[in-house]
Amino acid sequence: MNKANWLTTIRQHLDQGLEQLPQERSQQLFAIRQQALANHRQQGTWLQQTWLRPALATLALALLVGGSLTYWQDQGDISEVATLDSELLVDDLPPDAFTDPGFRTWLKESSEG
Amino acid sequence: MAKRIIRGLILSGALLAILPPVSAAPPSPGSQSSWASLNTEQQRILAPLAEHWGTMDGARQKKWLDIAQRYPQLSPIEQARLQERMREWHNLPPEDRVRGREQYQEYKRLPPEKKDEVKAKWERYQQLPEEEKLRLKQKSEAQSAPSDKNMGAKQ
Repeated sequence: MNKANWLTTIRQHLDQGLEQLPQERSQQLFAIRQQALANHRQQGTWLQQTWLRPALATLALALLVGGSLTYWQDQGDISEVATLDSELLVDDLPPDAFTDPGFRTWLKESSEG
Repeated sequence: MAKRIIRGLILSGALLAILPPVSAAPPSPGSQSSWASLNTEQQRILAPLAEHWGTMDGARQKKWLDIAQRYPQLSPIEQARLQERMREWHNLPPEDRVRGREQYQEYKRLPPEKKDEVKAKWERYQQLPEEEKLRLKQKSEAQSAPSDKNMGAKQ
């Protein structure tokens, strides 16, 4: 007997057995099955939603990419400030000339006068 | 199946290209490094900042390491100036550094003859009596807009 025939025979035996079950047992089995299906649906409400996994993957990817972009942006900002500071600190004029508010006012006054 | 693998490989490649380097030698913004972790050359260039190094945040350390990296390309005079001025610059309040950078950027845009004029005026300003300098400073503070005082702090 091949495998398909063997399975068919088993199924026929089970179906016959099911038909011979008392009605009370059939109802109990039906109720248990319904309960099991209900439990399965309840467990699968959020974890097994078909949209959830791609959504979580997209969120994780977005966070990763966002974090990386912020990192490179910070790197860019630091590099920009480093360029400016290294130019400012080696200029013929000392940094005081650019930070002294009195000098700025004096420049304005002398250019106006 | 093969398509999924190829898609996965392309995505991984793209991610690797944009992700921050995990083993990058300089500290990333926010992560501090100890003075001892700097190499001999970096320690020599940044020596004026040695005592302040441990109290700097990661971003400022990174900025100074960037500056140290440019140091070999400077002329000997510029190298000396940089080392002489770095500690004073570091000790300035953040808002003064921001103002200094803004002023310097304006100055950089001036034509050469105007720059010479500013340099000559700086020399003359140095000769002013202290009382006059104080008056100018007070006048500047009175004139400065609130937004100027509240400028955001940068490295």
